[in-house]
Amino acid sequence: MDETQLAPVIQEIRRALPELGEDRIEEELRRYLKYGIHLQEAKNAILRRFGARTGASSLGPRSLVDLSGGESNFEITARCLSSKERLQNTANGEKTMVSGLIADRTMIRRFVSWEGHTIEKGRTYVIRGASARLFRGEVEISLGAYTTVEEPKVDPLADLDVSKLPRFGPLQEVKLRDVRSGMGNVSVIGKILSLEEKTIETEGATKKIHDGMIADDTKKLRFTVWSAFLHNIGDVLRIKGAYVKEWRGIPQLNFDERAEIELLEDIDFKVEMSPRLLAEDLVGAGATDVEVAGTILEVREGSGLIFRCPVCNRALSSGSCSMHGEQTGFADLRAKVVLDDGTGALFAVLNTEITEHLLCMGVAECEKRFAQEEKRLVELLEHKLLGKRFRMKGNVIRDDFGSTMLPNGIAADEEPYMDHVMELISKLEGS
Amino acid sequence: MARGRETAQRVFAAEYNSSRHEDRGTEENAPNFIVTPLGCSVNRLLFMGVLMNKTNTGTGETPNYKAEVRDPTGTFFVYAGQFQPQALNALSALEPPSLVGIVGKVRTFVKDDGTFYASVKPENVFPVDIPQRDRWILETSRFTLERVRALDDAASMEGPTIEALLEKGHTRRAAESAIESLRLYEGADHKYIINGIRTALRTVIEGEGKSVEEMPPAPQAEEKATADVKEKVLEFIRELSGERGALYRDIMKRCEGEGIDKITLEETIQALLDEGQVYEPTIGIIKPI
Repeated sequence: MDETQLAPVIQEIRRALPELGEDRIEEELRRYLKYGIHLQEAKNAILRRFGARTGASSLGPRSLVDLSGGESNFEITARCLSSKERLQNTANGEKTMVSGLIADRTMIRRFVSWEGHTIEKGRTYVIRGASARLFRGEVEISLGAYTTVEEPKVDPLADLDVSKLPRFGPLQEVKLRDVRSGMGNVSVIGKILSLEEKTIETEGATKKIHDGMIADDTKKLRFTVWSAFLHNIGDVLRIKGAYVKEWRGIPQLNFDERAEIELLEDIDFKVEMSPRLLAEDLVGAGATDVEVAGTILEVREGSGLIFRCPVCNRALSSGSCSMHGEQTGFADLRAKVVLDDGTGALFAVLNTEITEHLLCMGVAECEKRFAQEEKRLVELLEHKLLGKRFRMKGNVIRDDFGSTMLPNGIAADEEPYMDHVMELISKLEGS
Repeated sequence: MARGRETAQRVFAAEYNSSRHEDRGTEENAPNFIVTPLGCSVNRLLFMGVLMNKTNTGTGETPNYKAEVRDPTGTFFVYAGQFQPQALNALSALEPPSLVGIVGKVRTFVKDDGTFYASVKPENVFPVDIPQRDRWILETSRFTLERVRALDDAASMEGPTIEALLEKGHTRRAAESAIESLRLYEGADHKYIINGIRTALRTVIEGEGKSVEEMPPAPQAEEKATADVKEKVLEFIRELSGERGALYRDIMKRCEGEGIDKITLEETIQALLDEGQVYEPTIGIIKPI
């Protein structure tokens, strides 16, 4: 190894990762070289490992509002608004996690450190080599092993008034149908359908919150108010400054005293109990109580006669439960299908009752007739479902694999179509 | 997060078969798309029509089916192999002519000379009735028209963007299609697709109340493929035929100059095939007998 080659590479890495220190860089480089790794490869590996974009240096100073989650190695100057330490069990043993909120002149965001950085409430810090990531739909500032935290001698944020700062990004005015989890600062108009006061424990203290359902003419959403709430069921409100979390992929509105709430006396909505939505609206966000109409394009594996674990109700696979081992299961019926309306595709799980109804046969009868030839039952289901249009009502939950409808009722879509055809062709002939 | 299930696009055969572009994506495991002349990106599609014929091109143990399914605007070519067991099963049970619905994935074939063929690898095949087929026609007409209208607006704009089209009231999917269409097929004439929609809607109106048996399998094929056109097309085929036959693409070009549109041509060739005047040794080549 020619030692003279090392120096310029160390300098190059140092420019990209100024916080790492020359000695540390050299030590790291030599470790790679010892394994016979080429100098260039070792350099790139170190740059990637310590969060620099290969070949690029630190992104430089950033404002909290500009981050979208995915940036790494930038610098921010921010005041800590809250901070707590917690011991957390991880795969690498017990670690101290420090988390809380920080603010600069643009907004407030959550931060988390897994390396025990000292960040105390009320102090301002210059944080270098941080990264931003998306956690539960929120942009979070992540402090890693190579992030340095330094208190400036003169606090550049001494006059910062955090009470006016948004909790999250720029205000977005949306219909409830278009609310997506992770949105930080939305303005919505909706009617309060239900409301409940609850007492919860948070950080050792009890706190009164409200939750309920809010709806406009497109969709219903659950909401939680984390501060005093003076409105009643039936009120139509404009809520500016709510943020969105999710439960099983269904967006939920959250807001607190930061939100601006206005009672709108002259607006009312026709709120449908189960508003009709397109599949494309549900692919990005689940929903409670909606209706979708589409064509069934597939009857998926796991449909028909299944056997469930007597302990936990999970479907057995080859007589075995993933939690409780070999079991004598009890019979059940279900159909897992794909519902597609041309704008999007949803999975749907038709429950026992719906499946029995479709087959005009109960579970017991199915078990008697089809236990030896389960495939025939699936063919029967395909015959009843494939290529047919259905309207389904129920909740839509969402996970990494897509959106799944859990209908509490389905009906063949038998809406007459000839008038629509006539209308369409007369429009076409006219043009 | 994993990519969700691809939507089954509703497209007529006329639009699908005129596709000349595909998008294979750069990411690992990225799905394969065909981009239609109206800019619709198709990875999966749903169509319903008349199963015209099916040929088992495999052996007893490993069957392979080639099938032709006509909608009112053209013919979908369907190839089912051992990896499409449901489709194979269903196809072996169905006797042409009958009304079928097919959900499938795009399949493309580009010949050495660059000729592009779009066909379908079926995932599910099932019998349908006339109301089901009619609803598919209505739905597909709406989606197709949505694309046509967005494209018309985009073509009349200076520097069209998705945002500008959304502002005009187009749906996002139609706006995206329009921009894609301009990028890949700028200046292409899509009148034949609008004619296709008309024909399809008329099929619904004319077929009202009739059972499958009463309906001619391809109602408008006979009507339009008048003796004149048939003779002309047959003449072109003879003229263009080399030893191996004439390229469909070349026949199409020749016909364009004579004012015979794509749909009429396809119907005419179908009629000639049915009459046994020509045959199709391989897909895309027509040879006189």
